[in-house]
Amino acid sequence: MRSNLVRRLAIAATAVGVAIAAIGVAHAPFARSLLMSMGGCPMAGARMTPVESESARRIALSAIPASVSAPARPALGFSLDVTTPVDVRAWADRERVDCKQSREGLIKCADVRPEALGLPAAEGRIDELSLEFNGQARLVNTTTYRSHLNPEAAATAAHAIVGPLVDQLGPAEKHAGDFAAAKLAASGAESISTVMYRFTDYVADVTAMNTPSGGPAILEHYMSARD
Amino acid sequence: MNKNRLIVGLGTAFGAALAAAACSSSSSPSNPATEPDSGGTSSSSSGGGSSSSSSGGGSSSSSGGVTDAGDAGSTLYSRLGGHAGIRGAVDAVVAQELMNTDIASYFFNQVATPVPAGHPTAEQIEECFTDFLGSAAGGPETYPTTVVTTDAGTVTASDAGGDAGTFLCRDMMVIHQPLKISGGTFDEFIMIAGGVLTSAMGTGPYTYTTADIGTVAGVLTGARSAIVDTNQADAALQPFPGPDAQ
Repeated sequence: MRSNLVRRLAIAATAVGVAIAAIGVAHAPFARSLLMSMGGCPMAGARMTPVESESARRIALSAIPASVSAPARPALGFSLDVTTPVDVRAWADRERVDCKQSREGLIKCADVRPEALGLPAAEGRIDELSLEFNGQARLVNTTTYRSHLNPEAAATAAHAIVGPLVDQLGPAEKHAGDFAAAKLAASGAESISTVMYRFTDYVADVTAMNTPSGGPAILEHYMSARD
Repeated sequence: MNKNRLIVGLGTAFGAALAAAACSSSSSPSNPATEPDSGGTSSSSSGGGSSSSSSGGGSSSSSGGVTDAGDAGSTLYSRLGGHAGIRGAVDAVVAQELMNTDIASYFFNQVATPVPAGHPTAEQIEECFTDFLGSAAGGPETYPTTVVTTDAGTVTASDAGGDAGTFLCRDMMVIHQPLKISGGTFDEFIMIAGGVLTSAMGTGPYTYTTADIGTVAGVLTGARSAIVDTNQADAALQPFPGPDAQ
C-alpha cells in the first residue's frame, strides 16, 4: 500500500520534472523555431491591447488634479475623441506618410513632415508619430518624438511647437526652462525645458532635453481626458 | 551639473525600479504584523519626523552610501519631502510615464485587470520605489524590502483603495533583462521623468538643492548599462517587444 503511494508520487514528480525540462528546452535558442511552429510561448502574449491602454490612461488621469476644461484641445491637426483609424489611414495615403498599425489600437508613422500635419516647417520632421485609439476606435492619445537634433534645430522646433500651444491654452500650469539652444546644448537635466498642461478633458506636454543616447530631443504629447 | 546628474540619476532609478518591479516580486495576502520592513514603518509622518535626526547630514545610508551635501539645518531626505514627498514625486512620474504609449507597454501587468498573480500592482511599485529612493536619501526606509499596503498606512488610501497585500521588491538590475529596453526607450523615459521632476523643483514639499541632486546621483547614476539591453542600446524607442524578442 505504502510502496504503491510512493511509486505514484515518484511518477508524478517525474512527470512534472519532464514537463519543466521540456519547457526549458523549448525555450533554448536551438529549439526556438520549433517553439514558434507550435504557436509560440503562451507567455509571449504579454502585450498591450486597447483594453490595457485604456486602463493605463485612466490610472494616469486619476492621479492628475484638474478643475477646468481646456479652451482648446490641439492634437497635431487631428481631433481627439473624433478621429478614427480610417481617417488616419486616409490622411497617410493622401500625404504619403509611412504609417503602420503597431498593434490593435495603435498606429505609428515614421519620418513625418510637419507640413503633412498642417504644421509649420519650423517644427522639423517628426521621427515618430504615435496615434492611439480607444475601444471605440476614437483617437485619445498622440505623441511625437524628435531626436538626434542639434541644439539650434531643437530650439527652433520647440519654440515653433510651444508658441502656438501657449497662444491657445495660455501659460502652462507647470513649466521649466526656456527651450533655448544654449539650454539644449547643456547635458542631462540642465538641458530640460518643459511645459505641462492639465485640464479636466485634456492633457498636453512638451519636453525638450539633451538625452543620453539621442542628443537633443523633443517629446510632444496630447491626450484626451474625456471619459 | 549636479542638478543634471540627479535628474538623470533619478530617472534611471525610476526606470530601473519601476520596470524591475513590473515583472518581478511576489504578492501575498497582507499581514502587516509580520512585515517589519514594510513601507508602513516609514509612512509620511515618520518620514518627515525622522529626517532631522537619524538620517542627518554627513551620514551615509546603509544601502547607498549617500553623503548628505545639503545645509546643516535639514537633511537630504527631508528636503525631498520625506517619505510622503518622495512618494508624491514617484506617483507623478508613474502617472506621466503611463500616459506614454511606448512606456506604458512595459507595465502591461500593472494595467491588466486583474493584475496577474505574482506581479505587483502599480501602487506596490510606487511604494517599492519610494522605499528605494528614501533609503538612498538617508531615510529610515530599507531596500530591497517588502512593502505592505493597508488602509492604515504605507500607501495612502487614495492610492491603495484597500488592501493590496504584500510585495517583495527584488533586485532591480536583474529584472530588466527580459524587458529588452532600448536606448531610445530609456531616453524617452528619462525625458518624461526629468520633465516631471524638474517642473516640481521648489514646489510643495520639495526644497532640495542642486547639491542634493548631485548627492543622490552618486548612488543612482551608472545604472543605464544595467537597464538597457546591450543588443538594443542603439535602437530607437520602442514598445515592449515581447518576451520572445531577440
